[in-house]
Amino acid sequence: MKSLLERARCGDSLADLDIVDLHGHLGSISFGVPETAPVSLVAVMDAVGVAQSVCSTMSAWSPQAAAGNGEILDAMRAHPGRILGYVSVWPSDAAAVRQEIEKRLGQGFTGIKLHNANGFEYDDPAYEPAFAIAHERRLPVLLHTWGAEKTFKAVRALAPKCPDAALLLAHAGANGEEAKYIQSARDCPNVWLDPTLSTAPRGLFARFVEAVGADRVVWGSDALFFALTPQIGRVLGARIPDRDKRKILSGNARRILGRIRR
Amino acid sequence: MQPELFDIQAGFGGGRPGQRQPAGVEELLDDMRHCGIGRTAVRIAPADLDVSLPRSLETLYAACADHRELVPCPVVVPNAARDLPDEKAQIRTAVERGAAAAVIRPALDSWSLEPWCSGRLFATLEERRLPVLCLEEMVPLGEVARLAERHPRLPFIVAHTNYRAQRLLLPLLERFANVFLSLGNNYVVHRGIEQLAAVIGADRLLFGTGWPDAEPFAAVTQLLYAGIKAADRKKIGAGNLERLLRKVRR
Repeated sequence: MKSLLERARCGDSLADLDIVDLHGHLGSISFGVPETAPVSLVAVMDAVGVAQSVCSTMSAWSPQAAAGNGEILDAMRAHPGRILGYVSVWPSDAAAVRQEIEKRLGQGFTGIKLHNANGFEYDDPAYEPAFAIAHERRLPVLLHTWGAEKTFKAVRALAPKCPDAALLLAHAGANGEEAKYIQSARDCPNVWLDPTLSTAPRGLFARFVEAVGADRVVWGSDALFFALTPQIGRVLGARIPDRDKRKILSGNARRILGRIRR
Repeated sequence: MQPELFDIQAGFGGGRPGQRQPAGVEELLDDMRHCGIGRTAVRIAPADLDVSLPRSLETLYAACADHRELVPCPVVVPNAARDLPDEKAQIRTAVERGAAAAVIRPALDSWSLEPWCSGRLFATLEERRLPVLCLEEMVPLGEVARLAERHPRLPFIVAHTNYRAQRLLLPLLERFANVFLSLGNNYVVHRGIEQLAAVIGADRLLFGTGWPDAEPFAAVTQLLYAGIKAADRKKIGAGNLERLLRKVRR
């Protein structure tokens, strides 16, 4: 039987792996992306063999987040079972955050995506309902991170308060801070590492697997922000056993999504 | 079936502050085998701490002489301070050693792209049709455009761009037929390869990885799962770079 690396080297479909992309985006963005329609993402998913992509709006860090959630809902309805949704919120106040999250979860969204490029760290009081709901409903919360100490501090404080939420640290390894990401996963049992990065540091997946185990690493592509196809190569080409690649590409995500209280 | 792969964007042996162990040739060769990359055009990288040009050239040429899978991309510098072999000698050596491209690093090596400083260098490169590898952090795209206009018979290979550059890259490639693009780290534009192949054709797109900084297999899957024709995949994988090499006047 061919290894996953050998299959990828032939460009074979990986559809039998039940791959879940836990870090997708849809919508328009300020720099030029040739195609931004959801159907374009689904076409790439089909080419590679990715079963599902959990997407948030490209406007996740802007005051237009709620409108972006509407675009995600449209994509979920246009591609049922293929595109799942993260709710994004603008932290104007806690009540507005709660209202938007409850509304979107009622529409079938799967989790929450927060982005601190808006100038608000995750321990901002306006985000409290987001983590409380995530805990109650056992939701994944995808957190944009970029190796900043204030973000690690916020995550260390928040994680014990919402032990049933799955906190996914996006861009794990960014800014050369691998050790801090590893420490976060070791300190907090409800933290997972999502190493999606445009400049894909050589050997990063293998180092994370060695440090925290394959059960605590998940795969996200960041498509359409950038391309899905190189991101999957980072896992398939990693110097780790195929059973670990399967956990990262599918098993861990299935476990996280499977425990959600609907 | 995996197409033949010839990597234009890789290096070894260089260092950067805080990096304890430079990435070595054996490590590169091992990753090439792992990823199914047959040949690699190499330079000394990272270049941050590359202070002695003669020593680096010696290291580069020695590694390529020892390993047929490696093709040198030596740095060239205008002999403006009369401290180096003259431009013709530098480029003659590069061509005799089978170079795939010449690397230019104007800021790092303290020279100017203006003709009064480097005109002789580019005239000699153009005479030989030896491609010039321009990493974006060393040669901004605007400078590539000026060079490409000034030297229409000289191929310029743009490398180490990023996923936010499509609005610059597409018109640059459309306007200048002598500009080529390495798809290596971190050109990771969603459907970018497909758009470039449709608009300018696949003939000026080159496979690149970004080794040692980047995970090389990312570039392999980016090419293999791109929505382009198999013939175009072959061209990008190795054919286009091979064609450029054949055109070098040796």
